[in-house]
Amino acid sequence: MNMHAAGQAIAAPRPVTMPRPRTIIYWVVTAPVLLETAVGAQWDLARNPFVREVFAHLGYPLYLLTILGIAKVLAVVGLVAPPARRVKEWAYAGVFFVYAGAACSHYAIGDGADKIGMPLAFAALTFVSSAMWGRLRHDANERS
Amino acid sequence: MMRTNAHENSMESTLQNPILVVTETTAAKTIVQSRSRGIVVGFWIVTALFCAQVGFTAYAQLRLPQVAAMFTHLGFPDYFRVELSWAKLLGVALLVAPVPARIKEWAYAGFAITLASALIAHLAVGDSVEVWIWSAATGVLWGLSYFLWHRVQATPLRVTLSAAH
Repeated sequence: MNMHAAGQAIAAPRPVTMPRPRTIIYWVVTAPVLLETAVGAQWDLARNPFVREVFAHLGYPLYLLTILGIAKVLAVVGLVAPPARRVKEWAYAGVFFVYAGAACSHYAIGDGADKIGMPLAFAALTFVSSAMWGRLRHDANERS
Repeated sequence: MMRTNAHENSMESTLQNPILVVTETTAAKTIVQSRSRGIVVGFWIVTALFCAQVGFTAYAQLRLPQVAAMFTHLGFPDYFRVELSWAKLLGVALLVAPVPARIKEWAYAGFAITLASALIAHLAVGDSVEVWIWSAATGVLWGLSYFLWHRVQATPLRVTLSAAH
């Protein structure tokens, strides 16, 4: 508290409206994951022709689309809202498992890099986003 | 919450999360930290049971054809059985290994998603109670392990130091 006050006396406080570069990078990395998960949730729940085809190709039962769709809605809420640490952590874990599982499934039935690459890239983005979120939270704790 | 009844003169802490409870006795100054032994023992008992249950299930799904048939019954492809079994074994290893808390949190999250999905899958294909009761029972063990793990995390290590005057 005292140290914080002393610091403010020397240097002007950073304006709260200006996001830090790290915050911007965080959202650049996170936005595709959020968008894919949100759109995926809608497609899964609607069982649109594209996901039906993918599921038939991979051999998964159609009711899994409903489980996935609901889980993705929960994940988007967990990632967008600034909730408790544990909610965020579970959302990240869940989204990561979905992408990693998709990549493994395509690999298992002998699909090429064109099919495996996309989920793998999203898994990597999710991982980076989760690591950056940990750093941002750490920084926020140090500033307050 | 935490009670240290080991010594006659120990104080009972009413703090939410006491770091140190310093007790003055006539002969020695005893510093008792507040992680309850009961919670740690309880955590390891339920976690060992959970890991044994999941580990055996994963092994059976990999090796025993009559158990492997359940995946076909639920409508899942055969490669998913192999993937999920190895994922379960990895998760078990992470629960017992001394890894960072965030990684354990992910392992617990993975198991929760798997167990909930298994229950929904059984219900979706119309299985009766005696089929899905095992998933439900494993879920109870999961819940106990997860709850106690967070209780253990919330309190510092138990260290008892004694120093003569």
